[in-house]
Amino acid sequence: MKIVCIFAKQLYAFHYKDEIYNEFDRNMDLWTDPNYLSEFGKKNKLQDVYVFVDEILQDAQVLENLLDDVSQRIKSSSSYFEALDLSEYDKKLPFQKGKIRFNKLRFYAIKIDVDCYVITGGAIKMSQKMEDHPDTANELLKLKAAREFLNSNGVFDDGSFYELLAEQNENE
Amino acid sequence: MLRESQNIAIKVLRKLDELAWSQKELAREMGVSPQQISKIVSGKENLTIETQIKLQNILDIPILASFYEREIKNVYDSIFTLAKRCAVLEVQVDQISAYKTCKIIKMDYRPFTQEYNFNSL
Repeated sequence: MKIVCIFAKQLYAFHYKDEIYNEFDRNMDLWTDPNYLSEFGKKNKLQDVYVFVDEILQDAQVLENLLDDVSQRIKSSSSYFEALDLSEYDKKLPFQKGKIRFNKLRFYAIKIDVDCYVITGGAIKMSQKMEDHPDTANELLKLKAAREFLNSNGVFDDGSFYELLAEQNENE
Repeated sequence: MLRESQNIAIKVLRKLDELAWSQKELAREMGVSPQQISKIVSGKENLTIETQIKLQNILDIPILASFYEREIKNVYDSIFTLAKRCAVLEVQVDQISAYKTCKIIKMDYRPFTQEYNFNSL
């Protein structure tokens, strides 16, 4: 498990062991893949799979455009992320969800500091509560594991986070 | 470009479902490797004209028709917008004719009391 930079000083992502891509690239790759999306639609017994595929491809395009704006600092990453629930507001390293209105795609992240987030995973939102769908329930577990990882590595603010990144780079 | 490749991928996947063909069967029909088909249906392949024509002929789907499909969609969208506008206008016409046929009540002063004559209502 290591952390890679997506947009310097703004957005980072976990790269889990045994995965080819980091969580940002892995999810963007899946969300722009009609074959994966049609299989996902069939697995979730959706009525019109290809309308769903088309919707998700459009959602992915909207998300890509927004993240382009974040990378060029036209928008801040905090304009995209919000607290996962009310209980996260006053916590250290709070859980966050990346959310666009009327868009089913969600990135999940941990907030390190203002405008600095680490993506832990992502999912297509299929239920109101995260616990009600296996994909989002798994994302919740990944969020918890990621916070534990950061805590056990002494991360509590942006300074300690950058120290961890520097250590990680030295060890490579 | 990516959106075009994704649209082609959707057309291919939809047709494979209709025919109940696997991607391997399509690969066999086209004389290409299953990996090549996997790339096509993932919507990230820059398809050659030759591949597009093969897909079109074997699956009997309009692969090269995206320009006309967009034009047709625009026409449908315009018709839909016009139909919606017509529906709004019809409601407005109904409201105007209802206004014309309603009884106009004239409220006059009673010369004797100099008050409104509410009894006439």
